[in-house]
Amino acid sequence: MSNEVVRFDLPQSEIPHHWYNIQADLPRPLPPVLHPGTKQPIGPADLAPLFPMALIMQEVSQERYIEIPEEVREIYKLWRPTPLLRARRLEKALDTPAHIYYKYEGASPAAVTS
Amino acid sequence: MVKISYQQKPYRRAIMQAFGADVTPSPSDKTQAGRSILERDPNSTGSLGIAISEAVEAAATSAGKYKYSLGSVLNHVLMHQTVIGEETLRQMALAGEYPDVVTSCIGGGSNFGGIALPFLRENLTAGKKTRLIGVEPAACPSLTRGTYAYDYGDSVGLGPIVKMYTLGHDFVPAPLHAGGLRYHGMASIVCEMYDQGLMEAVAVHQLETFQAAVAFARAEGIIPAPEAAHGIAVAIREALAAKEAGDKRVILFNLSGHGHFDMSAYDAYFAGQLEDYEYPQEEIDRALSALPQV
Ligand SMILES: Cc1ncc(COP(=O)(O)O)c(C=O)c1O
Repeated sequence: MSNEVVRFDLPQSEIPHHWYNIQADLPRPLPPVLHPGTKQPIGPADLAPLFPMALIMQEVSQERYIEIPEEVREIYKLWRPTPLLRARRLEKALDTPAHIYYKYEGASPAAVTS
Repeated sequence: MVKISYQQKPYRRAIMQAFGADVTPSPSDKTQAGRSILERDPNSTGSLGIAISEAVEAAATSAGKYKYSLGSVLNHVLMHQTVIGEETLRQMALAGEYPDVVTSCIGGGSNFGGIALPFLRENLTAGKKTRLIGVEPAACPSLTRGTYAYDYGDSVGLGPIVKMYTLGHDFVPAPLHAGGLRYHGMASIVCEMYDQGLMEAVAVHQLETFQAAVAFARAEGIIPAPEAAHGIAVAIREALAAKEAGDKRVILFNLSGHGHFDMSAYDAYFAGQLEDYEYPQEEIDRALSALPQV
């Protein structure tokens, strides 16, 4: 067996603590979402019948990082961190000097249901 | 669940049932939105836009008992998926490399957002120059051939109006198309990234995606979801371009799921039943005339 590594794993202690919110860094802000009746920009109260308030606040947040709730990190532990692999055999099959990596999310129960 | 998927992908339905869900095929007679679609077309096989209309109505009329949970498109969904890219940044460091190209399929934009947004942050704030490439099917080319305009997120026009690259909210995909990624619009975040020149978009035909999927499976031992195979197709294109140019490009793609529940799509591919399908220009032009006036 060669000592070429193909799989890069993180320990469970490195499951991220925060989600990253691109809205903090986008050069131009996202255009407003409009109400289907009034065609005016929508506010949190308009969305309240559809979504939980915590998600509505995340939807419009401009904070760069949002802490992941402990309950969610506990569930992430069931399959995260997911592996990063280097597709060395595919590189050989393609006879390419490129290095090909892939992040494999297939162990997540949410990855197969849509 | 979109009726055609309910019929063609019974195991995805069974997975949801295993986790405790009641699953209704859409369009259904349980909502006003569903009934209005069935009245016009009793044989409708549904679309994501119609299913969203029904879900929105069910939540809005439940007096707080139900909420609507969306698995893609919305800002917070893409944000939740950023754990994928955050982990990958650290893993690439373990590998001692940094990607020149990051790619994955885009349907509503969640798995692409998940892998690409942390790398976009590095581009915007740390001087990195990674190319971010979203890959869509030529049969549902929202970014590459759609129009950036305000449109309904759902088919009936019950939900919010969002500015996005859209094929029109009454878009119904070709039944021949086996690879998923059939939503008429796209996440607002992905649309702004595209409009602001922060990412590239490519449309690929389904035969190329299945060829890429099979090449990947034979080399790496994982059968990819047909959706994920769109990203693999572009990773392979980039690897071949690197060979042509003689450069040592580092290419990263997100393998968003395995294909074990999509073997009927592979079956159709192996039996030679899949064809490439170019979404017709007349349809795009027609859809533009149906955009809401804002
Ligand atoms: C495995 C897989 N990947 C990707 C997608 C596309 O969704 P998104 O663009 O939100 O990642 C789907 C949805 O159908 C999917 O099932």
